[in-house]
Amino acid sequence: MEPNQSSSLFEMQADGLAQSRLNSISKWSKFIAIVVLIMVIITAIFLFVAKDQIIEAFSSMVALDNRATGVLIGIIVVVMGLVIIWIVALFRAATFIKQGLLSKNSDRLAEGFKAMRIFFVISVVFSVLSILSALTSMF
Amino acid sequence: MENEQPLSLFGLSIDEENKGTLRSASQWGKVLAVLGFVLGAMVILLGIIMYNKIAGSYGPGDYAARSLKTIALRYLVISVLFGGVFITGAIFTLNFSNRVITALNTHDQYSLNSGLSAIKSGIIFWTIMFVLFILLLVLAFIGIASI
Repeated sequence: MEPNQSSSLFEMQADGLAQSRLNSISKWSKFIAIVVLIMVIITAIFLFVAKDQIIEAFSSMVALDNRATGVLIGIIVVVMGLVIIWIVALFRAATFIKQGLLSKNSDRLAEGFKAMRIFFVISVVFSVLSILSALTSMF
Repeated sequence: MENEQPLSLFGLSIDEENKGTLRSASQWGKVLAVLGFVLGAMVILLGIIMYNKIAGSYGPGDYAARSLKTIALRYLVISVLFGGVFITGAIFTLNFSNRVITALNTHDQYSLNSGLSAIKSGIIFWTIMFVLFILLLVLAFIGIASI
């Protein structure tokens, strides 16, 4: 497998500055992925420690039986799972872009951009859910 | 932290596959940016609606009305801050998407660098926001633990 790709007149080049920017993107993306992972862990600990207070607070707003509590826990687990997939996509993007830069391998770089696309798609899903949630609060 | 030194004298080729995935990522970025603008505007609008609802629920001069107005004002400020965060993030994403798509269409190196710079700034912005959010979570955690 040849790491260096041949260039043509019709291909774009990521010059030194573009590579430097991609390198920064990779570093910061990795950092933000770790930060969000810490956030997910803290949230999980927070939910676990304060579960009784949270269920009590919800019970005062809406009647919660065992089934409703189960559904609530299920929703939290699904959201956390989505967040983890989201973080993994960002982390993969950062890792592949870095590897592509170091080995000058366009395929690796493409893998990084693909993972970035997945990250954007999941972000779109979260945004749509947030908009729907805001809409239901409004009306 | 910033390193603007070129990594190599030789460019890394952005072939057709890379162009396709980068274009697709940019298009999704554009969708995300538009949704970010909508979400930001809705959060601010929701804050204004809630402010009017809460602040207008009691008559003037009422003691309860004054304390409720303070709560409503806090709610409004938080809404504007959150809305502002979403809109700022969306601006970075939109700049990235527009400039990268332009770069891919016109083979313009300057637009490519500018687009990558925009997404880098966006990622730094979101990192700061997430760190602030973690700090708030930790404070909330300490507050609940002390009860």
